[in-house]
Amino acid sequence: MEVSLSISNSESMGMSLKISKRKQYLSFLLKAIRLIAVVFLCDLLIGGIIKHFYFHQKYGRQYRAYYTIEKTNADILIFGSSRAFNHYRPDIFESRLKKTCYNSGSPGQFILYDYATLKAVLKRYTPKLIILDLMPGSLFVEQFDGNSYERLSFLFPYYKEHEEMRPILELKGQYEKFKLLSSVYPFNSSVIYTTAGCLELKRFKELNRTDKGYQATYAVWNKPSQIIHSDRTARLDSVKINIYNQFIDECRNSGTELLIACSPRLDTYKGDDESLILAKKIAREKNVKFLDFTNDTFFVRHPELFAYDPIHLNHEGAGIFCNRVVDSLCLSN
Amino acid sequence: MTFNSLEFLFFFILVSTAYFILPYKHRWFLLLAASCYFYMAFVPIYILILAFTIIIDYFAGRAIENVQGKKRKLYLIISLVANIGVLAVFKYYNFLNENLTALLGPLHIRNPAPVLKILLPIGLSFHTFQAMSYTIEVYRGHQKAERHFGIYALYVMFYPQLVAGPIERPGNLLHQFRQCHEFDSSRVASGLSLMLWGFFKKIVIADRLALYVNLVYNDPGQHTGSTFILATIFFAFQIYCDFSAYSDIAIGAAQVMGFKLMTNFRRPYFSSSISEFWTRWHISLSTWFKDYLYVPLGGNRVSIPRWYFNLMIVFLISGLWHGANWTFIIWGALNGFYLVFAAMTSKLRSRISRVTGVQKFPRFHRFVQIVVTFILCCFAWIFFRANSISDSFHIIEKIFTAKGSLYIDSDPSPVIYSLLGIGILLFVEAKWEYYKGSFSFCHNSHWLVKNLSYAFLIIMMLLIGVFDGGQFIYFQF
Repeated sequence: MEVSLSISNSESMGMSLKISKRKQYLSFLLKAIRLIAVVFLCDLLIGGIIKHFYFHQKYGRQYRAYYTIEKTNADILIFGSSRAFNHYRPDIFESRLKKTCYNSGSPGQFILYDYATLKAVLKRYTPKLIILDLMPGSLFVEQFDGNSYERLSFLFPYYKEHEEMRPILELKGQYEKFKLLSSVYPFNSSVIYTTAGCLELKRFKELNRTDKGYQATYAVWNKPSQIIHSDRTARLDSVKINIYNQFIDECRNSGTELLIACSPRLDTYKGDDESLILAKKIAREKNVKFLDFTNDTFFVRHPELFAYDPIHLNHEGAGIFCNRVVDSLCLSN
Repeated sequence: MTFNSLEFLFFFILVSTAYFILPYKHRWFLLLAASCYFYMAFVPIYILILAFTIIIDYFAGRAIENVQGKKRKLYLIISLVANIGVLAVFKYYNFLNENLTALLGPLHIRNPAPVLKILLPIGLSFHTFQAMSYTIEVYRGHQKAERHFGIYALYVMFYPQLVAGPIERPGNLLHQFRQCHEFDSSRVASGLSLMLWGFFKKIVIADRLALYVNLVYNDPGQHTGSTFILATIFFAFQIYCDFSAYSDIAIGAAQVMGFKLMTNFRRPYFSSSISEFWTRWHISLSTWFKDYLYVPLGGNRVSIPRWYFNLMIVFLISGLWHGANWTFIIWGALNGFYLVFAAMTSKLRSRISRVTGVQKFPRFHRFVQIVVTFILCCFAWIFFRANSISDSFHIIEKIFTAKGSLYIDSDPSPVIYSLLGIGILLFVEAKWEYYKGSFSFCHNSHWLVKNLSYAFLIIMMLLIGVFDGGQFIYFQF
């Protein structure tokens, strides 16, 4: 009798322990769901507010990307990095070719950014001419100290609405698509810049003043040309090569004329830049005009045509360079 | 697999869930397997080094317990030599070799020792010190030798604290692997909350500050004195947030499963003296050195010159523990010197504060002491962060001589985000330090306030966090 009583006691104790354990799990789960709901709502609300302001800017690089992707209908579009931004003067292209032009060059960006932007543009309209400014080393893994893919986050605000850009933006990392479920994450590290763009602060406006996307620089470089040895250890990036090929193919398939240019730099290259050689080879195979101004004797002899470093032309240098590009275009047509 | 990666988040959820599903007697195996996987995610082959020290220390521990007399000491020495030997080969060999080459160079003697092309195993100094504390404690009779090999291996390899501490003692951790930890929702919530704070410190503050600090310290020739001052202050917060973030995540992750790890940081920048700083900074290492080096050397129960000598030795070795580079040794020596100087001038400083009457304003007095301590720490951090000794002296020289404007790029937002992160950190830490009982955000009794506080931290991470920041600084030690 006593034994059976103690067994039933221990059974009931075990049972109540199980119930209390289950209660613990359940209460934890409910609290977790409540927290997730609060975080989700905050994310949606704050993300929505930032998005509104992000797409209502009138100045700055974020606005220029938005204008390229969503607004421009220019006949000629320029793609590339800060060298495109500072080297291609739409006024010269417009006056000499009698076509509208917009400079979409984005400082610190590279071929993947250009391709993602091109995809969005081609979805909307077909420009008559696209000029892609390519830097030496553009197809190397080591470009931007090997951190080039991280720079794709600049286009994350377009991830949700632009399906065509997603596969390129997801190249940033294998978990990006999960992070981009958030409404706030696409605007990571951009909120202060966006605020300045919306408030139209005087200094911000001055720093970001452009003429149809082109920014003139008036500084004058005063050091002579130097010899730079090509990086023999750099490795070619198969993803970038593939994207470069696709960039050319997309232009061709859409019926847009494409010109690829490597704009001038003061320093002369000694040795072969594998990246540039391959880019030229691919262009030649695909019958695309490639203008290479690296080691151009005229620019190498004129440091006063460069601005704050030996790889960026000033306004005067950009003028000379653009006229030579137009000459070359006229000649080939 | 770093703590600040999504892989770790998936790993952690999986392991913690499996931990509570599995019957108690199999849990040690799950944790050991998970720890092996966690460690092998870095450089798989290096698990053999861990296996080597674990086997040696396990058998040494048992042998020490089973024998008497001089043989006990012999087994202890075998264990210590094995551990220090691993450290010497993988961490200090090339450093010693380089210095030997430099010494022999002027004598036109060629150093025959080859340079080893090896990567430093992650967290080597941490788990080696943890393993050494086990055999020392068994030798001292404070700890019974562990008979279960798996549990001993788990003591050394427990994944939350395997690669960057806290450096646990067997007395605190070993017995916890034999306890049955039931699921406790409030404990789990508290552990997760600590982990969240750790992620915030790493992603929002440390990795953000690193961008500015690296830019300045990796190019010392280009910057002005004011830029170096800002970069050094930023580095002080970067290293604190980076390292304490790891400890918070480790302690939190262990707490979720019911393990209690030791506190490693207690708001060190609120210290009013260097000696107080060392009771709040990397506590698990400071107490390790105190228990196993400082006290055996005689501590402060010796003649005054010998006491100063003991302090210097402990901090020199502490510097060397951090890395095989003269910059770390000087950093350690500088901290030792601060303590010796403080001891030498304690009477004089008391007299000065009495004469100036500053003691009548205790809050102001403490504030000044905190500021001075922070400046001294920052000065020492210059050596810790600089890439070489010559860089350190160049930076110090520039701080005092190179005038000019502060380096802020055309886009000042990274600096603003950095200052915002530091502001939030100081607000939270000042609240914990001075107003602990007052209004609480993350521990508020109202669920909405509590959840909104957590949501704020998460949104801040998504909004201004640096997600490509990479490894924790202390992994390299």
